[in-house]
Amino acid sequence: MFANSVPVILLGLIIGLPPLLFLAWALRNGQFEHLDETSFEIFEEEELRYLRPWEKPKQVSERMQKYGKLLPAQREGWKRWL
Amino acid sequence: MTRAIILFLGAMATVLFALVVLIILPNAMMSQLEAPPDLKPYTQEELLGRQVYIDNGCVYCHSQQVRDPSFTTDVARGWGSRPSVPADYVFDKPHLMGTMRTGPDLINVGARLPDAQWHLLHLYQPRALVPWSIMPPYPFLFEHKETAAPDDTVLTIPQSHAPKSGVVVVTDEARALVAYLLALKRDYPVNNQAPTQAEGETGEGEGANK
Amino acid sequence: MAVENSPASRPENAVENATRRDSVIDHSKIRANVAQIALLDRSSRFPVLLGFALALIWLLEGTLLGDIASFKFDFPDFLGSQEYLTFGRVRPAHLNAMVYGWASTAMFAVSLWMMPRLCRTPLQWPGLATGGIIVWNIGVYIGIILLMAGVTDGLEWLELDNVMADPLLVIGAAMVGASIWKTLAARNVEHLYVSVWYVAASYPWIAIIFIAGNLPIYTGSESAAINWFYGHNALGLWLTTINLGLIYYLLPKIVGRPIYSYWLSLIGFWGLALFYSLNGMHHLIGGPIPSWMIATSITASILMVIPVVAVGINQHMTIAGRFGAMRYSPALTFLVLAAMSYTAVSLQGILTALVNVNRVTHFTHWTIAHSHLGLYMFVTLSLFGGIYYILPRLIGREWPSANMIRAHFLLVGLGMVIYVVALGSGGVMQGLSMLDPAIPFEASVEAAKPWLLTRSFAAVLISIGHVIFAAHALMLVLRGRSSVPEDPPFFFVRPVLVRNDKVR
Repeated sequence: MFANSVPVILLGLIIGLPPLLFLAWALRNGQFEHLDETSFEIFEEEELRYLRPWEKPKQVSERMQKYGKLLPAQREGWKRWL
Repeated sequence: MTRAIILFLGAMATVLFALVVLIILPNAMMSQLEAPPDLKPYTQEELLGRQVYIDNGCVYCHSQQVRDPSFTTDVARGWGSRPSVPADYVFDKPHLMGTMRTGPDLINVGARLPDAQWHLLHLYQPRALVPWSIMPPYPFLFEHKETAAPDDTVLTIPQSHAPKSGVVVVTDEARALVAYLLALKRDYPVNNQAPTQAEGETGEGEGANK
Repeated sequence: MAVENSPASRPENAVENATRRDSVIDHSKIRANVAQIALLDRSSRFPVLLGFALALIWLLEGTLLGDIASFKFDFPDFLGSQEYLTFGRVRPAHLNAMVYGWASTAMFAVSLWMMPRLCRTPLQWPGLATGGIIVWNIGVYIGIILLMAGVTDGLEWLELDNVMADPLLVIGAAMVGASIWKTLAARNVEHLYVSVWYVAASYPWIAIIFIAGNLPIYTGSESAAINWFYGHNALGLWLTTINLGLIYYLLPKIVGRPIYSYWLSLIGFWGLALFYSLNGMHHLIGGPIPSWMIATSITASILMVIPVVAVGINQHMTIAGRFGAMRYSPALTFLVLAAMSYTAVSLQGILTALVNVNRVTHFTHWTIAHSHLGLYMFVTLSLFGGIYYILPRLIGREWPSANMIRAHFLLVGLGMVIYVVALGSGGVMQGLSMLDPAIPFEASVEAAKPWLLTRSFAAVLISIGHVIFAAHALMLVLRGRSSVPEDPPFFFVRPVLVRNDKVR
């Protein structure tokens, strides 16, 4: 009987229960607060302020509004590969 | 918003795991699978043959399970007289239920094709017997010799597929593999014969997992 | 639009510099600068490069094995007398080379590259990580050579020998995992970005299921249950998770927008962590089913929709309106296709589990088409994207040839679409044939033949694409920093764009 397979059930518990504990830790540790800030963690200092060649004017002005004055590419910049 | 959903997920998980620990696990521990009286353990030679089957990856083209007639047409196709049950596999370590039917299902091939000579030739060169087959040939399970020794078994091969010279001799490995194939018979009756929806799901589950 | 060009004197910079000096502040509020990131990259440089190199070799080897397997469907006597190359050995050799050789090694590399960046700390125990990659690879080589010699554990996805190969895999992965977790422990950030969760969790998961799956203690239907528990979870808790982590990091970064709904991505991760393994149980039900067991399995399956939808919504909304970015970034192109394929293959999987579909597709070539949609279009394309992004940053120069990138992309993209569509169709034809007991088995074999041939053709296209990619990577590494790139195809060396006052 598949469903009566003790090893399978045990494995399901061994894999599933520790995440519950980590979840409790995460909640207590404040991992679910300041979510907006956390989503910005991946960017470097000026990364969001650079001009991106594919963005339409509306997107460009949105970027400027959010992050401040925009910076141009310093070297050749983005080139299309396709 | 996130906290609420996360707490909800955590609560659901707790309930689920509690269910498993308190109800499912004890139930599982109490039930046991017994070998059906008509099913004999594999003999030494058959086990050797089973290992040859495993080592050459037969499982990648052949399944070994008959699914429920309420779900599909395995029984109607003649692959078994009844759907497979877990008890059929008690001596199978590891299981060889398979997930592909590039070739036919084999759980009852011993009942369907009981001729050892057919199997030996089919293994040597499948297309000698089944022209449309795409099964690989297994000449390396045989020995190609100049002349047969006194106690050698020579394989009879149709002219079109025979080697230019010499004879093809059956090895112990080939013999063992055929013994295993002939042992694949699960046509004895089992208790609670009524095929349930679950049996069908068993078969379905194998595929859905892949 | 107003543009600034006097870096050092900007008012914000002064504030940032001041705040950094009096550093009692939460570091995650302060973005890392390019120099810091470059240092972090340097800390993991060697194991990451080693991982990519070994992975690319596996890619080529696995592709060759796959080609041989595919041709054998079309010409069954092809290499028929070669014992080591018999289909039943070449086919699992291909699978293991791709899953444990190519994908897993590349996944070690991307994990080791991401963790220092996301934790804002240099890679800890880098020697251990390097050692782990080597030990893992030795294990996989031993396992596959034994496999081709006819020594196998006999279970799909678990073939590599229990005694000679598996322990090395476990030790190797544990070594890499230890480096990952030590880095996590040494973190300089307060909040863990979602990719950290995905990457870190994958290591204990794969260790547990791999060990459990390989224990030689199961018989019969229990053996089957454990086999597919492992197979299903190796996909969801290892192959999927590392690559989701990669996509969640690189996709928003390249596009230049934070992930659309960060809370949704967290819910996606936790849903997966809590419920994915239980999902396997609903495939394993046999015999009379109490109603509470049905409820458990249905709940688990429904909850699994959450991560799939979360990823789908997030990736789409992040890139929506900016698909043009793909034309400037090959990495992004591969990652976006991978993300879409993840959604597609998950939905296809749900579809395939429906009774009426399963009756047709089970035991057919459809299964192989489905697995390649997942393992190639999601996992492999994601790893290609990762390599296109990461390698130039570690070598210090841009990819030399836009043409080779185009060729790679078109060959594998086109090849895989043909593969999945053709083989999927073949599987359906095969399955429909098998359903009617009045139709002889021969018909199902014949029905699949033209589709199998098409698959072989697709395999050739994909193989050429792989050779081009590997050659291009070699060109990039060999030219290194010594030559000055003239007119680079696109600027990638610094994260996005660099200012000329930042020193490398």
